[in-house]
Amino acid sequence: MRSGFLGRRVIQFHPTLACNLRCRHCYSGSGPGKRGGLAAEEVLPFFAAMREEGYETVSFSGGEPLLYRPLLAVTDALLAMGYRVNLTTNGLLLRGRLLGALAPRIGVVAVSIDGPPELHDRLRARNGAFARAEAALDRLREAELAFGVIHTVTRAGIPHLPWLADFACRKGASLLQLHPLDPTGRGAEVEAELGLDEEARARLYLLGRLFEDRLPGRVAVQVDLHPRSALCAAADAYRLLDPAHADGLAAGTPLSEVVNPLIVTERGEAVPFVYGLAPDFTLARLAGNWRVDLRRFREEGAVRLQRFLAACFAQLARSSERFVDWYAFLARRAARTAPAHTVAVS
Amino acid sequence: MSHDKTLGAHLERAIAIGQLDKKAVFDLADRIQDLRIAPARVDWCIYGICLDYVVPRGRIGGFLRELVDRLRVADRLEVFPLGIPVPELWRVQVISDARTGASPGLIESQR
Ligand code: SF4
Repeated sequence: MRSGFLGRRVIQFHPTLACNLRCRHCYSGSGPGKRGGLAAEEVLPFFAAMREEGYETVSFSGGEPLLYRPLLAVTDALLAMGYRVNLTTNGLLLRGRLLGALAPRIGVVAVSIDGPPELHDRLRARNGAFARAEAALDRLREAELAFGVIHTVTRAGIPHLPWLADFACRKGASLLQLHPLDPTGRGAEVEAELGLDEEARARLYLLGRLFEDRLPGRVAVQVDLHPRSALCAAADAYRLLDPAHADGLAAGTPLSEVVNPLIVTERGEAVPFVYGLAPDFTLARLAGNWRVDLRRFREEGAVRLQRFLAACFAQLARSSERFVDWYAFLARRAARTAPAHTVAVS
Repeated sequence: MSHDKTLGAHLERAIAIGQLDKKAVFDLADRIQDLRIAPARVDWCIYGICLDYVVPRGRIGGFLRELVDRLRVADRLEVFPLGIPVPELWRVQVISDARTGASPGLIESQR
């Protein structure tokens, strides 16, 4: 059964902010100076419990997940729990033994490509980054691993989108994901220069529709931008809005039915829907007594989250925006209203 | 590449590089929204909303033509094979490409 706007019940796992790049638009502010990462012992009991709550897929993101030391051990444990595991990477380290080890474990690898070489290297603040990401795509194809191209759409990148669609197709990608720049982390610093205005969003939406039509069927095109009217019409996909949960989660409701995706941040916070809802809407802290936190969420936090969601859909209905990045919309609204909705955790 | 797909590639370029002006982009976007495209499903994703639509893959050419039919602007149908009753730029470009099979490029036809 659908939960939220996703076909699967997904945990997005950001285990570290360490990264070998310092991209100008990084939504999480990751970079080489950031150290550390969540210990396997800290996260695995939580993931085991979340499997019981109906989550099916864990998508590693970052930071750069290939720099996360326990990556393989954690992946093996997740697979043993019955999760499907995906991974998003900048591709720089995707080679040799590491690639060989990932191949039988990972369902889909998404490699970030920000445009043609010059633009990619400029946004990634590293000469040669494009060439290395492209080589990673070629290796993924040789290894017969399903992979996609994930693109952060910026104003500078829009003229190159037809090129990108051809590139993804030529490289053998099975997914082309177009994700508007997130105005969080360092993304906030470049939003005025690179963010998408209403016109750019309309262009992106139309291009996505045309790519769906033109690219061969093996390439799924996903644009993380939707007509406002379609989102409003689909509000009932959020089961948390069901009056049955008005006084707390109805008994027996799995968490994945009302919170999807679930985000696990590098600080060990479990957060609903989008990275930008941390820390104010945190459901549980993995370093504390997360079982108690989750119980409290079922009793009280779910009601606050329900009010927040209802307010978001109400605002969406009043908005004049034609095309909406739903998760960015949630994060923006949370930033404005967070104190009233803050969820207490241990 | 099918005829529709060649035209689609020209449209992509016009939209991407801004040769299709802002008004035309909004006009087209509004018309597509007006069709009440219902969210359906997508099988898998890495990140983001997984909505897809009841308009089947490979059918957007016919889908847009239907729009023109509804608007009862059959004279424009010939002029705009993809059925988008918007600016002059499109009218010239698309018909030139459709009739000759050549690929004149939008910049050329804009002159
Ligand atoms: S966008 Fe990705 S690759 Fe770039 S700094 Fe952030 S985590 Fe690293």
